[in-house]
Amino acid sequence: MMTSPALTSLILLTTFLIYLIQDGRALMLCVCAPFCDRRKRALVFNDILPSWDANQTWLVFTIAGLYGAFPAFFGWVMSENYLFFLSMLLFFMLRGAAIEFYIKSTRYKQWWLIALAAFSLILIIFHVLLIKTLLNKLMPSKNITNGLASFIFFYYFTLAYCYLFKLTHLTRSCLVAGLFVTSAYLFSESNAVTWQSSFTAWVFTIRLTCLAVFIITSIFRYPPSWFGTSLLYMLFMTNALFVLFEHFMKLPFPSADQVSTTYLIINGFSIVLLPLIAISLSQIKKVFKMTSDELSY
Amino acid sequence: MSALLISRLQFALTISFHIIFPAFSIGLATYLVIVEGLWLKTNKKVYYRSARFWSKFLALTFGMGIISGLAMAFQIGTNWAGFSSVVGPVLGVLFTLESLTAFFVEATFLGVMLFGWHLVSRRFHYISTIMVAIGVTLSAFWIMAANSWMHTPSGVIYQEHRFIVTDWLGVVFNPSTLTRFSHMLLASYIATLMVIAMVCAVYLLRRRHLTFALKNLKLSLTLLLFLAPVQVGVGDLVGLMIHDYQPVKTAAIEGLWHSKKGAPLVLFAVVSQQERTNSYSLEIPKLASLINTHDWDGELSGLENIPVDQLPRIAVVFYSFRIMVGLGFWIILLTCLGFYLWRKKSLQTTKWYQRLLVLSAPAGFIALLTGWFTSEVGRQPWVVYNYIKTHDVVSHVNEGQVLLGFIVIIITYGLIFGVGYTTFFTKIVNKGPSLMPRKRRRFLTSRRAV
Repeated sequence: MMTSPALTSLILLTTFLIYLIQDGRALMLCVCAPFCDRRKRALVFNDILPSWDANQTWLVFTIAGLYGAFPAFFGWVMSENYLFFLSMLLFFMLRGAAIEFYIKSTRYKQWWLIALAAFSLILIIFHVLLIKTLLNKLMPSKNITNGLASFIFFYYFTLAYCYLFKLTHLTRSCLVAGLFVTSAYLFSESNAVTWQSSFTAWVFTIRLTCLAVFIITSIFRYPPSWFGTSLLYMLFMTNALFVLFEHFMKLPFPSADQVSTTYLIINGFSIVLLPLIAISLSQIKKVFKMTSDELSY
Repeated sequence: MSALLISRLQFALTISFHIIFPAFSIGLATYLVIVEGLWLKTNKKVYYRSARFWSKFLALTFGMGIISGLAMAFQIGTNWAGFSSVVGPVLGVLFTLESLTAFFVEATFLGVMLFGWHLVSRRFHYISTIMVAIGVTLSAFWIMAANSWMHTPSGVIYQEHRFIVTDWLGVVFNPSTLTRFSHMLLASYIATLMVIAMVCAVYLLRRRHLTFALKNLKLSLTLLLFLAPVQVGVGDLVGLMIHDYQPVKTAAIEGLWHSKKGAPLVLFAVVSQQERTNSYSLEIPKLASLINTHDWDGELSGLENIPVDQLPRIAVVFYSFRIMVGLGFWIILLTCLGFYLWRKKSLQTTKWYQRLLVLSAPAGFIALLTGWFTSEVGRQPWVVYNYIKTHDVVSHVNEGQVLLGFIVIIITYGLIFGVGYTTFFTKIVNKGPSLMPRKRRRFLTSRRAV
């Protein structure tokens, strides 16, 4: 039976990964935005604007949960990497401000767009470094570097690609390019030595099955269905969740009797998350219904 | 400068900037519930325009609140690692509950509220607006519960440098939660209404959007006339609570160096912490006892027996409190004056009053901030009152790193919140509550989205 600390860490990892997926997609879309034409850019911002602040909420929840459930670990990791977290915070603020100011600005819109893309790219690098830092703290004996950058980068690229595809109905050549990138991601990860420990056969099988379903649905249905892209979406999430959870479970948990009610409260109230996720998804679906005529970004 | 002092200054700076945005969001969200409700009830265009116009400010302010709030979450770990490990099992849960019950609700429905004007039905849109208002209010509740627990800790036992919760209801509804939460909520409403009144006054002075400006000015004055006196009453309750649980803070607020029955209210004085005296003081006999104990001859404890290392910075507490109270009464006076001019039907033509409103726009927020200074500086040197001192929980981080971080934060905050926010706030005001494009106007008359 799963213990309270384990369940709490699973919930926190899930919310952290939802943050990485949601914000990773938004970040990569922001990086792509300057290269899109006006209509596509409007569609991109139409996708980002209603949800970017909600995405940050997943991060805030993870931080608050970590603070509540593993306070000593939280304080240790944060203060040990003071300048790293401070720099990351700085770019969080700059990127958030750039989104808000880009929408409101008229005279310097282009500059804000470039700034937004630059800050987003830097934050993606920070995402890579954040996971690297966390894993190095959890497994100090192993140095996690190989394959991680490519893991995150291709992961975000593919997410952004899926959404751009869904939003703008790109040409078939883009589909081929996307599949090429996805394959490159799989190849680069399988080359990473340190990740191979968690490369269990069944995770690999799930991943390949999802990819196969995505390819098949893409071939038979053009543009690809929401179902197909969602599966690809889930592929990365499941994979990353398994890998991180495996390492997170090696954490020195505080004795359960001291903070057991803390865990129970966090776990109990997390049920609230389910309807909220459902509402968020329905909201995203509503946004897709908007046409470019209704956009003004 | 020591790492402790820089960390304290950094926290003070970041939280002072941060508190403005949630407070403004709370006020705006609640005001939007009122104006949108009036639109649904009366179907008058002016209320629809008001709802659309003020929601632009909410969008900008909410974004800034998220950004500055992230800084707070990070800082607790980076600068106050000891605080995390000691208090985490208590406050971490309250922060998590805030995320679950407030952040997710407000972030989810804010999207519908801001972007769903012509996508969802009027009723669902109004429900979203109400949900956003509930979300921001709940968020304030959890934060106030956490902060109040640091002032009046209850429901816990402290052993082996860690708090263990024995009664969660005791933690959440500690002796000061409800009074301090009500005080903060009302302060947020009043501060927001002062800004709304200022924007309306600007339009009246420029002779633009007159119907919109008059309607909103009258609405804000009506709300202020009700809320400002209630705030005085709630403030009195907070004073009674402080006297019961934090007598040192009461003595610091009153500038009272010696215990006394029938203590005078010091309206103004030059406070000297070194010599433990007040000079040039202007006093009203027995009033401090009456306010703090509801008895003319009630006894107030002085600061004579408090060791030097357990005293807060008296001057900060003393002057901050007077600025807060002074501005509070100034707002009441302005409101009464506005009501008098309204009754005389000269609200639209009295330029000096409109200029006064523009100048007094920051009054609510300055009062709110000085109220926080009174409360937080008055709690020092304790971080959790009578349990843990602030210098015991600071991170063991290199001073140079902390100073570098502080400088970076000053520059970033100055640029983003100082220059950026003000510029775009002014821009929205200058643009005004313009009419919607024709195709969106259909939404006014239809029940469903186009």
